[in-house]
Amino acid sequence: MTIKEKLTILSDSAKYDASCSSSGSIRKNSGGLGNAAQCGICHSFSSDGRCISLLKILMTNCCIFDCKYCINRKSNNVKRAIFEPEEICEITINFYKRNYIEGLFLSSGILKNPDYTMEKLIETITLLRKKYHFSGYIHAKAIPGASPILLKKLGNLVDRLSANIELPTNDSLKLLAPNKHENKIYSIMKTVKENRNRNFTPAGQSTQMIIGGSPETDLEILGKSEYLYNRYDLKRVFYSAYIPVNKDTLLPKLQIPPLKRENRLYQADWLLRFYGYKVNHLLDKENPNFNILLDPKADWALRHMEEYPKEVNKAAYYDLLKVPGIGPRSAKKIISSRKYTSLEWNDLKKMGISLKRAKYFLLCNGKYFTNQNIFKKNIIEANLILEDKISTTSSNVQLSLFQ
Amino acid sequence: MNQIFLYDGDFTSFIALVIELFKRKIKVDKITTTEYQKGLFDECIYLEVKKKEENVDLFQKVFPKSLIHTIYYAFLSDDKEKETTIYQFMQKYFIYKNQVFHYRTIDCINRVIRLARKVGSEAHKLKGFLRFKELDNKIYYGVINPTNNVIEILAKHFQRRLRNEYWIIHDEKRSIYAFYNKKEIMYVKEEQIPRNLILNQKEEFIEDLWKNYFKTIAIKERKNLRCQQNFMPKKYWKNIIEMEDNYEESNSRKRVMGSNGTNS
Ligand code: SF4
Repeated sequence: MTIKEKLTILSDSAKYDASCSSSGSIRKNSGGLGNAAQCGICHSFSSDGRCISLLKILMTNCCIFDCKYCINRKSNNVKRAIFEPEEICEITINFYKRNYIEGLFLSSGILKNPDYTMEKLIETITLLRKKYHFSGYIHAKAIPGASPILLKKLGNLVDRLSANIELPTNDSLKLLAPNKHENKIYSIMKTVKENRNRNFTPAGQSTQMIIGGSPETDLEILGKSEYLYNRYDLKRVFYSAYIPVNKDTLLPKLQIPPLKRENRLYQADWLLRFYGYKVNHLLDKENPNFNILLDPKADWALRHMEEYPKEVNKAAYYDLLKVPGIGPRSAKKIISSRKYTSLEWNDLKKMGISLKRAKYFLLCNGKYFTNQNIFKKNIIEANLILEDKISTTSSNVQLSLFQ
Repeated sequence: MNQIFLYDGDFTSFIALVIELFKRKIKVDKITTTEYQKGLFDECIYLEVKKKEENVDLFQKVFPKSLIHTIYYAFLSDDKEKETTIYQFMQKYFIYKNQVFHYRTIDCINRVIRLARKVGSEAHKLKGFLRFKELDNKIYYGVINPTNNVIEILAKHFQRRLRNEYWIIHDEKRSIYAFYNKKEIMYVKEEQIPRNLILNQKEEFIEDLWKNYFKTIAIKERKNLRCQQNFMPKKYWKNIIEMEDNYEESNSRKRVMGSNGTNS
């Protein structure tokens, strides 16, 4: 098999992992090749609009397990390939020197057993770090069930580790991924959390959940994320719209991946991490799923109209953040500018703060943006829906919904 | 008459000039490069600054680091009014001191911050989009056509990253080359760069491998070309090898449309 064929097979089977970020590490060039950039760098964007930052491949797509949703499961009849450690190093180095990539994201199917697979991963990455003197970004997948000693070894070599929780409840996991156990994933997360320092996974850990492959609500999914963020200091939870690659009676028969839902979850996840929201602010038993037509923040604001409008010159930082259309950068601009002048609508415009959505929720020195009569809930709602980027961008996928 | 001050386009000359103007308390209507087209009511002045270094030292002493950084980035912008705006911004610094960044409602302050941010953001994008090709003499060669003059920012980035390689970054638009010899970066002119660059033998193989990876990694069920283009604007495609085909395609489509236009 040629290198090109191998790379095709082993990148094709790795592409469903959503994580590609290369941020959060400040690895220095230690006299060899490469370094990491704190804020991460996207090198390209594939035709699905996703960032390409890392060379994302599997070491092998052979697997002894049979997770229902996975293209590489044992019972599938697909072409299999295995990369030699040297091959992975050569491709990584050649791509890196040409500035195609920020580093490597190495995952793998389970070969023989978890320990053996993990040893192979360690061998490859050791080679890359020691023989090729590579100090660029490396993200490795931790293999569930491998011994903690191996996990620690791997953690000392890479910038980020991840173990995918895949499904938000243990029931779904038992059903769809009978060889995986929640506890094994948690034990990886625990080890990483306890050992993390400048040399051990400096960019922390992440995980991924499949959206729409099992019956859980957004409340359950996001609740799980919140739990993981709090308990294991995760850097990111990625959400991956379920794409049917296998036929199985246990799996839903979706025609199109639930991309909008995935997007709403990302927005909500963002609110958890940077805006001070809690899951139970956003969703509850009566409303366990996000409104597909509105982003979670706008949705929340509309359900709490009694809190608005907020006075630009007085509102606290976190209250400004809760105004649709105002992000941390705009909120900070407002706070720092209003110390010296009392802000009018015109000033906000000059400062480059987008008022498209915010104008319905703010007062400047007691003044509404325009005629007060349009500040009715249903009118605002209609306008926000029209201006929502996700529900109005008609990508091909979205259009096919109506065909 | 408008008093217009001219300088040669170089950052140090600009700083030396501005400090000189502050020292002598001269009225300034505009600062621009020597390429400026003189208007009817303009008086163009080329002020010779004798103690350039002294002025630059003074600049570094008077202004805090963060301000110098912002000024430098704003200066790299392709904005036509940047010099005058930066000059006004520095005047404001004398009034507001370290609080100057908070006065976003004052036009020149807001504009300098924005220019600097634009430059920073283009440089950040190109840190990812720049593509090197390996030449047969082991030199890595990358071409860019940026809107703003970001070559120095990029060169510093790659000095840290590709420390043990020889490389050249070529700004085609401005005909500047940054050449790194494993020790330092030199900015050189066209004539100092060897012609007939020959690619390394394995270059075609590696590029093909990458282009193939680029296609494979996309999930077809999620196809979203608009999103791709938002993140990776068309103006950069020409120099991004995996997008070259699309670039050709979109250009030839333009040509066809153009000829239709003249026919009808
Ligand atoms: S263990 Fe991983 S590779 Fe193997 S079938 Fe399950 S998800 Fe797929």
